[in-house]
Amino acid sequence: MTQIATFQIGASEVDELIMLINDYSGYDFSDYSMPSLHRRFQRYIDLNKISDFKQLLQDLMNDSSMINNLIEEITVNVTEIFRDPTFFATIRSELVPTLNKLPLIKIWHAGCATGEEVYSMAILLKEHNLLNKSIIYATDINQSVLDTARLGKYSIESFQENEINYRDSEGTNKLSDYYSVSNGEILINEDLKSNIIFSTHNLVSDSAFNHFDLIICRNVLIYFNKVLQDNVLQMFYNSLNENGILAIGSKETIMFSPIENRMQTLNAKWKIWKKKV
Amino acid sequence: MEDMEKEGVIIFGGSAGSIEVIMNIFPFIPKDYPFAIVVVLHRKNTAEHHLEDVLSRKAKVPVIELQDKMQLKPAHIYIAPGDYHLLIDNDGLCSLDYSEKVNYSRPSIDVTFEVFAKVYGNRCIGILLSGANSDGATGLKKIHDCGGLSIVQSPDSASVATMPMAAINLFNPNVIADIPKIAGMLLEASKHHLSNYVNDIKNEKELNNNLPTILIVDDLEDNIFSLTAVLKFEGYIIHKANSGALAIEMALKLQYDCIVLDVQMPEMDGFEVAKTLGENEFTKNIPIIFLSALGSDKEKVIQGIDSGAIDFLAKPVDPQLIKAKLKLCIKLSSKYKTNKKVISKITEEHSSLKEVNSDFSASLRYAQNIQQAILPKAEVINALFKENFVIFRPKESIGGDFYFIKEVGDQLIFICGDCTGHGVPGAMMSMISANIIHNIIDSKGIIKPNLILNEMVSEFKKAFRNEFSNITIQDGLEVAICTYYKKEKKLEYAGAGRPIIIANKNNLEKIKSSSYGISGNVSEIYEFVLNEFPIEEGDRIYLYSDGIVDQFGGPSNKKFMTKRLLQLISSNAHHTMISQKEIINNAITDWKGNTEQTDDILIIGLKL
Repeated sequence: MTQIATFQIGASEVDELIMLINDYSGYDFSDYSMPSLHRRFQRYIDLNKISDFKQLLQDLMNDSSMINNLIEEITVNVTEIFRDPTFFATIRSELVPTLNKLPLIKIWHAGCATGEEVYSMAILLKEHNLLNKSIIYATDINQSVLDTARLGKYSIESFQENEINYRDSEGTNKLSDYYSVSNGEILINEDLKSNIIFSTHNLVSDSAFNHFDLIICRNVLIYFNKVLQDNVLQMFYNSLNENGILAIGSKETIMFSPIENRMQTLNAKWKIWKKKV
Repeated sequence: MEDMEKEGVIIFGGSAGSIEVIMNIFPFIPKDYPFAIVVVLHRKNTAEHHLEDVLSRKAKVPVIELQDKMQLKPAHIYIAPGDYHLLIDNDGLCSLDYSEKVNYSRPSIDVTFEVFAKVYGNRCIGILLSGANSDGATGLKKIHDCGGLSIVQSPDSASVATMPMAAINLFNPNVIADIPKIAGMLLEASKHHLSNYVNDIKNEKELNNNLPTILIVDDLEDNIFSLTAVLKFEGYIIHKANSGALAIEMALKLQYDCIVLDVQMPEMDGFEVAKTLGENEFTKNIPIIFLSALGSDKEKVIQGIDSGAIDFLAKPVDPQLIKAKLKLCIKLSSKYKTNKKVISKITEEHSSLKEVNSDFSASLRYAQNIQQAILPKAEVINALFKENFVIFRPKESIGGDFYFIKEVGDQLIFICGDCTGHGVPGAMMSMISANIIHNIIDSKGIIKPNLILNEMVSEFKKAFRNEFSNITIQDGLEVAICTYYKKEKKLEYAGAGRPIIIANKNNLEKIKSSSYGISGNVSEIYEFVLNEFPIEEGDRIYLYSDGIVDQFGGPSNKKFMTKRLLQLISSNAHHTMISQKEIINNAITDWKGNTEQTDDILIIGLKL
């Protein structure tokens, strides 16, 4: 049980890693929120029992698959089905009537990670007979989580634990109506997937790509610093149709951002705004 | 930043049973409280808790649920939101994080305490309250170790003691206190700069730690009372235990300077206590004195000494005698403690040396990046030579070997240099040399190898001879320069101390260099020998620094030698350059074995 002391990184090592990742992969993490990024790097170092930082840099420079792996580790991909049930209940009661009136509903789910919340949205739309006229663009920086999302394959435990989430979101059926089980894993029903387009998109460097009636980006902005948050919010604003709706994480805000005065509050608790005409 | 110096933060962590505690403390926090207060509690994330509302009604200062990128301000109570970890950056800007749970918790108290410890140092008071798991203990220790004040709610005053006990078992917190005492300290702290208050309390604790501490163990309250009265003015801190079991428990937490032990006690007698303490690593060095009515029984006295005691005194004890004996015990104990301190100081110094070392490594790494920037990238070489390899193994992170390849019209110039020494001085020389050579080729348009060498000699003299410095640089570099005329299929080579190897289909030859290297000692008009070779397609050129041939190793720890290098290249001539690289690399590694690398190693192979 001898434990090897792992390397404890400081601010300068975080900078070195950010530079190295930028040089070798083109991903720019310099406007990410430093305390989070610091923790993620340290976590990577601890998980891989790294005691020699210099060696780590060498290894990363020589092995691009290792850099990809590092990037996957530092981008947080934790999510769950119907996370924050009340948020989804609010969509049902407050947004569905508006969405109902649209001929075509275009939705951008930015930072979708492994896809649980995208499928939550698809289930919700289906229950309100909106899925057929919806197109959901689900994007993330991380290719490998998108692969998981596209497959729609999850562990049974994670779904059964969250059956209660579905109920609290005022779902009208049973969560199990939307998946099949095989080999101890659950598989999302194909019909939920047909209107979802999964694609990589880097909020740091990629530009807007379409116009949307609803943009959902929850608990992604917390990993960015204020500058990057403002840029991303501006991009969301530019990507919204007239009366388009933006929903961000309940502890995130558009206050003090350049779009603050151009959005109208729909729901203050769940941070839902509408683009002013 | 100046403002930050004055600011400070009080941070609470707790779980089950902690809400009552803060409800009792917060009404005492005045409107103009000079510090920010942060509360991290484990809360259920399914049910909606309106902790802020409940607390707002009790508190005189605003109570706010923290949101992402919020700035902490004095005279505010901030509640960490459920289901997020709470982090903070160096400017006091909060950041939320929805990553994996830590200790089955989100927010995790450990996570928040650890980042606050680093950011606030001694401008931070961490308080760990009642709770049913051990989250927070490691974090509180971090606050303690980073200079902050560590306070633990006393286990007997906590409704669930697991969390405070976890901290007490992990380390020696500065303060263990009940709710009124914690509230009192927070008010007292507000009269000072937080860092001053924190330092004072920590020092005071340290001072108290320096007073000898004695544990008196007796099942009879009266006996304890009378002995305490005797020792009252002796400058001891006196702890009391009324049973053997309690005595052992207490001794496991504090390194007492002496234990005065009664023999006849119910359940566990004094002999048994002494024996148990003697078997434990932490307690075995605590001096024990028996104090018993059996003190005149010779057999008992021997049994007592056998069980590990230093002395055996009879009751009723003579006050002068016990005082004298205690002094002796304390002397013994302090000797033992000093030794322990010396050992831990050595350990500490060792780890701080390691830190210095790691700072140094960091700057070397930067230097390495700079040095690598002057070397040509692999893509550039690959574009010029279909088959090639470069083996570049500096002895340290940076070194004195360098190489580069330039295309000038229809000519290719390739150069392998080896500056005297290795490490930082070597690297500095190599940077200067590379710069000089680039200048000669680019600005002066000289491409003939022997003339480049002559020009280098004079540039070197200029570079190191100026009005401010009378240092003559004896050292310099060895360099091999080749110019390949693609049209004429002709190779020119001139060397200053560095030979090259030329190989064609049938033959392998080492081409000798002129015997002088480039340095201040060489005349500017020294004639470097120019060699010319016709080249056929597929001919190979090898340039190398002396690192490989000088490398010690092998079965009888000898140098590798040029002969072995020539053999190695000739016997593997049929392999591709890439395979040759691997073969040579392996040969070096095998030869070297566990021997230290002698010098920087550089070998370049090019197929023309």
